[in-house]
Parts: sequence; C-alpha cells; structure tokens
Amino acid sequence: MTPSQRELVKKIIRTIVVLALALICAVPLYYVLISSFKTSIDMIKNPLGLPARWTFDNYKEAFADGTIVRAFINTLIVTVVAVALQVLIGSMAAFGVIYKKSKFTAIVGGVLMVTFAIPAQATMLPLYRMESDFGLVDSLLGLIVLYMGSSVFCYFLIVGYMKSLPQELFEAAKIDGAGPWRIYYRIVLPLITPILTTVVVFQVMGTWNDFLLPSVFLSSTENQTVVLQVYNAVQQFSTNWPLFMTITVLALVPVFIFFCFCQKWIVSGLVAGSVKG
Amino acid sequence: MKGFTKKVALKTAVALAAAAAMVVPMAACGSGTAGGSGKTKITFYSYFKDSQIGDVVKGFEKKNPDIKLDIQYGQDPAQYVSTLQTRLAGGKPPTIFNLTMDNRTDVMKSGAAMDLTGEDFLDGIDDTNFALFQQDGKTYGMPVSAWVGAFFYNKDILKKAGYDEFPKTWDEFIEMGKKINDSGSTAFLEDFNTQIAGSFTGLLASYYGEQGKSGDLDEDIWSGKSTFAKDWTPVFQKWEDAAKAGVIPQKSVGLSADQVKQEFVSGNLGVMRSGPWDLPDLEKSGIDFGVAPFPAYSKEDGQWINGGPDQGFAIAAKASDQEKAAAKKFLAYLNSEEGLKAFTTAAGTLSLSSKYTAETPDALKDVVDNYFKTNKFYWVNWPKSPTVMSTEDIAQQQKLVQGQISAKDAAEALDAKWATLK
Amino acid sequence: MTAATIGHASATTKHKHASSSLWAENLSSLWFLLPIIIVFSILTLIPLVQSFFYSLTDYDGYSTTFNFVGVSNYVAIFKDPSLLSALGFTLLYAFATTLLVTCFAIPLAVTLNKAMWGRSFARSLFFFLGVPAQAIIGLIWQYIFSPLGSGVMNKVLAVFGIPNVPWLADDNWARFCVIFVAVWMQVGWHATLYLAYLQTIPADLYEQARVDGANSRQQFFHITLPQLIPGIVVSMFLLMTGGLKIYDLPYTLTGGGPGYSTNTLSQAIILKGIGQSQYGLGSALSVLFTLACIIVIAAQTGIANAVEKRFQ
Repeated sequence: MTPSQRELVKKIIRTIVVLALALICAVPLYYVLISSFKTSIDMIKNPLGLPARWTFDNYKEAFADGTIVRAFINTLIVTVVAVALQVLIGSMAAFGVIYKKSKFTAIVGGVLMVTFAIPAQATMLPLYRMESDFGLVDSLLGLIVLYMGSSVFCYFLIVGYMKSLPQELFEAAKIDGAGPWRIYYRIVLPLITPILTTVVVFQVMGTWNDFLLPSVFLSSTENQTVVLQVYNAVQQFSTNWPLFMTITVLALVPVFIFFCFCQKWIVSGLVAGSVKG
Repeated sequence: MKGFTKKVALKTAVALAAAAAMVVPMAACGSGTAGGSGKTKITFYSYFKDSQIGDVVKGFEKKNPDIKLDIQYGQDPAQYVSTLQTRLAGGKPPTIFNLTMDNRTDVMKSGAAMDLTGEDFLDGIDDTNFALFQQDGKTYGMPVSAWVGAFFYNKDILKKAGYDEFPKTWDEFIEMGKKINDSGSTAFLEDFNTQIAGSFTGLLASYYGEQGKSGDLDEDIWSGKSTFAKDWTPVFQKWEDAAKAGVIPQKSVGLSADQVKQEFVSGNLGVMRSGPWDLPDLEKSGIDFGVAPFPAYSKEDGQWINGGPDQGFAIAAKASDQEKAAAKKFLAYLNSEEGLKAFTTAAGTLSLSSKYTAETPDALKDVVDNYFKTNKFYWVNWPKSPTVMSTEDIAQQQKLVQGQISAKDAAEALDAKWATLK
Repeated sequence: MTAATIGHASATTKHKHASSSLWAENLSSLWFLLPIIIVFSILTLIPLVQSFFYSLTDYDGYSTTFNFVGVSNYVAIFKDPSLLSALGFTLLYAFATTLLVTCFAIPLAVTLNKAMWGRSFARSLFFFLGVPAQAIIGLIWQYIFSPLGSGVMNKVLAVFGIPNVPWLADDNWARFCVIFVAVWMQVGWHATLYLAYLQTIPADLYEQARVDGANSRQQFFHITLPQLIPGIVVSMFLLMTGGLKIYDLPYTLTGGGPGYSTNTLSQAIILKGIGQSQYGLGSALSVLFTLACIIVIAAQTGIANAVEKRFQ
C-alpha cells in the first residue's frame, strides 16, 4: 500500500468507528422520539423498533390542557431576564476590576474567586427563608433573583477574556478624555462580544435546564418551568409512558433549535480567555 | 437576631425593587387568574389525584357558583409533603390542603392549620377517626374516608403453580412464591421506594396481633418501654426470609407503584400489594384477579390488612375570613351524601361518615367485612418526624432485601434514628 | 470601529487633571463593582453567615424558638450513616466523572480532529448529548435502566442471551448507572472544548516532529498532550465544580437510592433542611459542604497552576 492508500483505509475505519459510536450514543434520544409516536402497549412490546402504527394522539394530549405552553412562557421570561442581568452585572464587575487596579479591586477579585467555589445549595436554606419573608417563594421574580448568583460565573469567564485586551487601549481612551462608562459601553463591550456570546449561550442553557431551584422554590402549577413540568409529568401520567416521552420531546425541541444556532459560539470564547481568571 | 434580619431585609429590598421594576410587568401579563366577577377564589393543594377528587370539585362548583376552587395536585407522598411544607413556610399556603400520615404532626405543631373543633360539618364522622388529626384536644383535619391495602393476585398464575386459594401464612406464601418464580412468571413485586413496604406492615400487624396486642400497636416503642430491635426484629427476619428465597426479588428495590402495576396488568406478575385505588385499571386490563389479606406471621387465622383513616382535609389558618367561609363550604360538601359518594367511588375508598355508606366492591368484600370492620387493619403512624422515620425505614428495607444488612441491623438503625429525634 | 469610537470620545469630552481623576477612577470602579457586591452580599455572604448561625442551633424551620446546641449538629453528621454515604458518593461522583470524562474526551477530540466523512455530524451529535437538562436525561435513563425484565437495557441484553441485571436496584450498579449517564452526557461537550484547543496548536510543531521521525503515539504524548494542558485545566475545573454540586441527575435517575447509596450532599441538605424540618442539621451540612468545596477546588487550582508552570 502506498502512504495515500494507507491514509484512505485509516479514514474509512475512523469514519465507521466514530459514526457507529455516535449512533449508539444517540440511541436514548432516538428511543424518546420514537416512543412519542407509539401507544403504551406498542412501547412496552417493542421499545426500540418503529411504531406498529404511527399515532399523533400523544401530541394532541400533551397540548390539550395548555400547561406546557404556560411552562414555556414562564421559562422564557425567567431565562431572558435572568441572563440579561447576569451578563450585565458580571461584565460590569469584570470591567471594574480590570479598569483600575487597586487594593480594593484586588480584594473583590479574590473574594469572588472563593465565591465561585461555594455551591448554591449551601446557601439555599437561608435564601429560602429570606424569599419567604418577602413573599417571593413560588414566584418567577423570586427565581430570577436567585439566578443573579450566577453573575459570579459570568464575571469569571469575562474577566479572563478582558485581561487579554491590550491595556494601552484604556490608556489611550483615558487620555482622550473618555470616562469609564463610555469606555465600558463604547469600547470594551464591542471588543468582548465573543466571550459575551459564549457566556450568554452558557447561561441560557444553564437557566433553561435548571431543576434544583424551580423544584425547591416553585410549587404552583401556573409557575412551573419546562423541566419541572417534565418531572411532574412522570408522576402525573406515570402509566402513560408515551405521553411522558412526548412531553420530553416538546421540552427538548427549543433546546435543540437553540443549539443548532449557537453551536459554534459556545466554546470559541472559552478558549480565547482562560476560565481561571 | 431581630435587628440583623431587619438589616438584611433593607438590603434585600433595595436589590429586589430594582429587579422587580423590570420583571413585574412581564410576569403580570402572563397570569390571567384574577376573576373580576365577584367570585371567591380559593386554592386547594390536593393529595388526591384528579381522577379521585376531580368530580367532587366539579360538583361543588356547580352547587356554589360564587366560589372558584383552584385545585393543584401533589405527586408522590414525599413530594406532596415537601411542596406543602415549602408553601406553608413561604407564607403562601393553599386555602385547603391535606394532612397526610407524613406531615400531620409537623403541620399541626406549626400552627398552619385552622382549628376545626366543634364545626358543624364534622358531624357524622365517628370521634375515633379524628385521633390522628388532633393535638392538645383540638381538631385540625377532617378525614372522610378510609383506605385499605392488601395483596392482589393473578388467579391464572396462581392456578398454574397449583394454588386455588391464597396462602394463609408467610411461610406458605414463600413456598408459593418459589413455585411461581420457577414457572417463569415473577411471583411478587412491591413499591417500597416512596413508602414503607405494605407487606412488611401487614406482617408486623399480624405479629403484634399474635402477641395479643391491640390499639396503637407500636405504643410501647413510642413510650420508650420497648424498642424497634425488640419488637420489629422478628418481623424483619420473617420478611427477609422472602427476600432470601427470591420471593421479594432484588429488582423490586426502587420500583414505583406504577411500574409494579404495569407488570401486573400486563400479566407478568403473580402478586402485588395494592388497594381499591387500582381497581378501575385492573378491571380494564381484563386480568382475573383476587384480593387477600397479608399472610400471617405464623397462625392460620392471624392475618391483617393495611389501612387507616385517609388523609385529613385542613384549612389554612392564614386564610382570610371570606376564604375560610368558602373552604368550610367545601368541607361540608365533602361530608355530604353527594360529596362522599362522588369521592369514595372515584378514589376507591370507604366512607367514614354516617351520611353515606356504599356497597363494597365484590373484590374487596372479604377484606372489608372480615378485616376492616373488625379492626384488623394497621399502618405505622410515627408520632414524631414521620418523614425522617419513614425515609430511614425505606432505606433499611431496601438494604435488607439487597442482603447488605441483617434484620437486627435494620431494627437497630431505626432505634438509632429514633433516638436522634427530639 | 474602535478607532472611530475613541476619536469620537476625544472630540466630545474635555481633558481632566490627572490627580483629581485618580479618586474619580477609584470611585467609578466602585460603581462598576457595586451590583456584584450587592449580589454577593445578599445571595452568598449573608446566607452563609446565617447557615453558620443556625448550624449551632436546634432550629426546626418554623418554630419561633430554638436553642443553641453547640457543635452537636456537626457531631450528628459524622454519626449519621446516610450523610456519610452522601459525602462518599458526592466525592466519588465528582472525581470519577472528572477523570473518566477527561480520559474519553481527549481521544475523542483527537479523532474528531482528523479527516473523516460525516465529521461535523458526529461532532454535533456528541455535543448535543450534553445540551438537554440533566433532570430530563435522568428520567429517560430511568426507563432504560429499569431492573425489570421489561426494561430497555435488559431487553437488549436478553437478545444476546445475557441475564437481567438489577441496574437501579443494586447499590453498586446504581452508582455505576449515575456515573455512566453523567459521562455519556458530558464527554461530547468536553471533547468539543478540547477540539477548540487542538485547533490552536501550530501545525509546524507536528511537521517538525515528523521530520524528527516521531510516531503518532510520541506526537500525542510530546506535543498534543502538553499543548492541551490549558484546556485540561479548564475542562477539569468545570467538571469538578459541577460534580461536587451534583443534584439533578441522581435525583431523577435513582432518587438517591437504593438505600442511601446514590444520595448526594446537595440532596441531603434539601431533604434535611426543608423536607424533614431539621434546619439546624441541614445548615451544618451546608457549612461543611462549603468547606469541602473550597478545599477541593483550591487543591485542584494549586495542582493545575503547578502543572501549567512546568509545561510552559
């Protein structure tokens, strides 16, 4: 075999192995999708095959009472507001630390580093009481307030990237008389768009997918988020597995669409700036 | 302490006000709940499912067009307890809620439930049924129905193994289970993931009965005269025999009640622990099934069943007077002939009230007439921290079935847990 | 764009005196940091102080009175087998997923970086596995890993004549299942991260190595791996912090069982503090959990820095 032939054989083997592995890994997702078109009996008798008869009744039933639509709206509100605030707070803090290096900013940076290691769960019990004192338990607003905690994570991703910006840029702007707000808004924000995109994508996925906080802080049906809705569907329709699978598919569709649009941005920013800060 | 909280409050308020300004308009447009038509709106967080209590709510709203009852359903028992606890602690109690076996002591102690003592709508329900929902002589919950639990068996599978009748003692049950397992079906499955094993509780009652006990069977343990190690170890041992013989198979660990029922209705399962709530599904499935009390500890006639008063209905102490009045109307409707009939029929339970008595379904006749009515029913009613104790009990039972610990270890672990509670 | 912005700025603002602007600069960085300081105080600092305070009491979550009980809550934690088991599984999960994901993700990334057909399809597919919510993934796998004969995995094994496995009904199998699903979810995600780092390695490094006669294994260990170190640091850091906080996946997959075998610290805190009204105990657990996280993450950061320095 010539070297180029050898390369070709290697490429063929690689293709087969990788694609086979990818397809095996995707079987659970296929299982969910295919089950949503089956009846209960069909699903038990024949878990992995194609449906004996394709049925769309599950989808009709899933939309019937409207709670799933409500859950989508709730999750959308929480995600959009929370992520916007997180990114704003995180990027402002990162700029504050980078813009003027002093003992004070160094201390804040250090404290935030430690904060990053503190799990949200450790503060959940007091936060629970705090929110209940303000009547914020079981409300979307209360949930958004809690998600502000992720600003620290945003700060971390952003500050690493900002450090790679040339310091002379700030100096030049200062000499030209630009104030800090102007520098932040007109110069820094446009320059850090790559990491901002990454952070937004990260946080949107994290907020949309979160189960811990909604499961503890939300209890009424009208406030449910999508993930909570799927979890409750298991209990509610426990003998109707295809219906559960259908609700799962519905919950995954927006995530899938979002993923298709944002895939390329997700990691690019991470590489450019180190997470360690 | 107080000053500290106030400072926190102030700081929080500032931050929240800023966030609220942004969110409130958005959130408000999504919630179309306000009924401007002068209706009283009350909320009901229900332990019972839509299929069980939905008709009662519809009937009530029809009779009381000026009241809107917004009902939400709990999931499994543990989830119900923690969600309700969340809402009570969060100052957002539902107007009506259920006192369950797991939360009744905590909720009564917290003062979250309204005092119902002496209310007219409690009439017709015998005093003894209120015992679980009373504290310091005051009544906080109204039970209207009772539940029973027993073994449900597939007659065809039993016949194939050579049995026309259900075994009367635990040892015979194990013998039969082995035969069924050998014949290719699964002999027995049970849910002891969300609650303690019903078969164990039945066996325990039988053991107590054979010791000549009556009343609150665990009284000696609660009062400190006895221990779990002393009273429960022999029963854990007997129960474990079934696990060792493969009759309580390891695969039953971690199953939900619905997974078990699914196996039963698809004809793969010989015996399961269930109750009247599953009757509609079982009848739909076309399986030829029978119902039997739990096999006795040793004596032929020493069988018991699971059972007790159902979850009580309570009204939030924090509700407004108008809401309380509406909620009382609902409780009164529930304890009326119409309400009781709708509820007990749909939920497959037995009425506790003299205002309505139903015909017992044929399948349950023996169990109800010969066991429930003769007070041979039992369920563990932890007088302290029920969720802590039942979680511990479930975990020990799961370990026991996996063969990781001995019967004595399981009982001693319960003693150790019991000792840590105030 | 940037140059235009600066130019515009200079045209509209007056020059300021250097000494007076220093104080103004300090003040303005305070303004920028104020939001995060408020967030930190309300959502982290105050709750932590409260947790510590209540961890020394027998508070039950709703009574108006409580007593100081010293460190007895902390003592109780170390005597409670269910909590020790939660600690053990949390650490096992965090370390096992960090190591396994790293060991699988790097070779996967290297392979996905080489020429093959359907490459971007495979990349997207592996990546997408990590996109859905962990809670939902746990629910799906609960059906697949059902210990009954009717469970999907057991049905598949039966085709090959393998007897039923008690997946979620056995302590060790259940632990395996949770970790397996976590690795399945995250490998593709982290492989994508490594891919991005791989593409920054200059190609002439490999060319030089080939000229020197290095085979592909030598190239991997002497070029690829050292060049990937920053990526490994980032990836392992994310895995470890996420692993210690794990809640959703075991909660929906196993509910913490059988027994307490897949109970995690997060779950124990919530169960004790809210579900079981043992607020003091839950708070003590929170305090210990925080310390454990800080220690593990500090150690990891220290090791990472040392390794990075050596390879620079």
